[in-house]
Amino acid sequence: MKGIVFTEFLELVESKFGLEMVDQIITQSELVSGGSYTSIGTYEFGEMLQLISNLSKNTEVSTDDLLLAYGEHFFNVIETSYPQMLAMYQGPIEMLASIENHIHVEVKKIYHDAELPTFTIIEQTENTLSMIYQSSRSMHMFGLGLMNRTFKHFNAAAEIRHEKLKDDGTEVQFSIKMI
Amino acid sequence: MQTPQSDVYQRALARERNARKEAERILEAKSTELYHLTQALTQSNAKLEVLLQEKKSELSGLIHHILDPYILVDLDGNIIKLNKAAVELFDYDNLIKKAGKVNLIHLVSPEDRMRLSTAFMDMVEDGYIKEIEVKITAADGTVRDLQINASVLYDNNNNPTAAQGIARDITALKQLEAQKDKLYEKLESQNEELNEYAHVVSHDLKSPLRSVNALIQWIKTDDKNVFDPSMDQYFGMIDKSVKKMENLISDILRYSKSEVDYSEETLVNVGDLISEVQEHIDVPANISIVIESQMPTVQVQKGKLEQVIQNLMTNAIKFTPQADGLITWKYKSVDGKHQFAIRDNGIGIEEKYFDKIFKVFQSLKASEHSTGIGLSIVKKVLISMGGEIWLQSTLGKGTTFYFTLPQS
Ligand code: HEM
Repeated sequence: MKGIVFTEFLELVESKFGLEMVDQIITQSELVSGGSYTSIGTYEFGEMLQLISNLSKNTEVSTDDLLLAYGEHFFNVIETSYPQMLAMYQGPIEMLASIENHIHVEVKKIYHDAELPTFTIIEQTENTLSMIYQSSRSMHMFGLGLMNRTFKHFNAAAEIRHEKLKDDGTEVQFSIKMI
Repeated sequence: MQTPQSDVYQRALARERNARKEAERILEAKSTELYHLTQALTQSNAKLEVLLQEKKSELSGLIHHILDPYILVDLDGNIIKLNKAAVELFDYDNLIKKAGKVNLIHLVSPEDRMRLSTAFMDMVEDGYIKEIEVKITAADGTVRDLQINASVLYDNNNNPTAAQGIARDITALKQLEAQKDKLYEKLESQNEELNEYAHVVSHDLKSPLRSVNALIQWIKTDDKNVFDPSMDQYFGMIDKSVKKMENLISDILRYSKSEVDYSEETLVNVGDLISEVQEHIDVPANISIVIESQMPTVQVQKGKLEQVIQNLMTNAIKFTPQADGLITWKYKSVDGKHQFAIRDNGIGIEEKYFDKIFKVFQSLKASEHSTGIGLSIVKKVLISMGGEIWLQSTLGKGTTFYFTLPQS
């Protein structure tokens, strides 16, 4: 997993819960990196997993809610670092439908060791999109956060339902309806 | 004494420091990687540069040495590049000195400018133009005819960027063509005159003949009792000579007209045509006529072929006096031509006469029916149809005439 995901995460934790919480979850986890992350590095996904679950334990906020909040926060990174990529789209449905075949393809070109999910489109109309998220990392709630912000970015609103096709969250169907 | 708070900061600081070191290490590795990449790129760039230069000079050498004028223009027709031949033809150096910038339009004669610009627009649309003809005034002041082939050049995204053209100087060709046309016209009118002349002459020649004929008839009837019987014989001879003279004149008329047939070509079955002709000429009882081969269907002016067949048949009949006279027609395709043969088993012709018989007024056996003009008409007509004629003959055994027609 790319270092930027860790550094942004820890910054978010620090701003919401303070440096002590950062220190605590790092100390609680068994990290090869020792908790030192640089945005340009690449680290084990397992470290993110431990950090999140320890944060959840310490704060009594579910990992799902944490990941959702983090996804929403991460969109800021996208907005500041890749504005030209966002500028290519006229609307949120069009953009979300392009993650698999365009956005993440470009991401893979920039970071060839990026670990990205697969989105399979089931149905797409002007205002609705139904697609299946697949990833061994089960970060669909992170995706949901990104989706929420995507609509906000285009000054639009949506009703987004998600349904786990596998209990471990490695396969999740999203049904998106712009309102 | 350290508080837990400062422990947290200590650790955070240590992590930050490690992260910075890690980042520096990664960046260091990246810059080394980049350096090597740049190195490799520079090298392959240099190689490409050399290659490009080679291709460029090859190409410009090629263009420079083309003997026909070559011009490269932008899409507005402004000249970008010319080869040596073009620079010399248009006196380009001088034009540039005078105007600073030269457009294609300025190279051609004023009356051709409109046409050239239309052609240029067509080219931008279609991608090319072929064989556009324009007139120019060359550096040496002469007016020249150029034939231009040109095409649009496109960039990598398939957008038109420029156009190139090659001009061919066809002045000499044009002059030759004009000369040929003139000559042809002259020939045609001369031919017409000649035919008219022949017509008038033969007409004028015939009327005194008719007078002679009439006068003789009068003498014969008026002075019947005065003449002794031997005179009858002489009158007979005079009669014959007059008739022969008349035939001669008719033949000249026929000969002069034989080529003048502007009818449409049609599909003609040669076998059917032979049978048709056979019905028109009375075939004497001693002669049988056989068509031995399958005859083809040919695309010709029917009247002409009819004339050929009729002349050859009457000719064969005339020179086949014996009781078991046999005339056979044969056909085969030879070297992409139709080849016909008509054979008789008549008196035959000596080889020394083979050439003569096709000439006007050469008859082997003069008779009142024959002026010997028939075969010369046949030859003339066949040549006008793109064919040929020749013969084989053995004295006392018979003659075979061969003639060909093109297979279109
Ligand atoms: C310009 C837009 C985007 C950029 C530049 C971008 C970039 C990235 C990057 C760098 C990662 C981390 C990869 C790694 O750590 O190896 C990532 C992960 C992810 N992205 Fe995007 N992304 C974009 C838009 C989106 C959107 C709109 C969604 C909406 C669903 C999305 C869903 C995800 C998810 C769910 C992950 C987590 C990895 C996983 O689940 O396997 N991304 N993206």
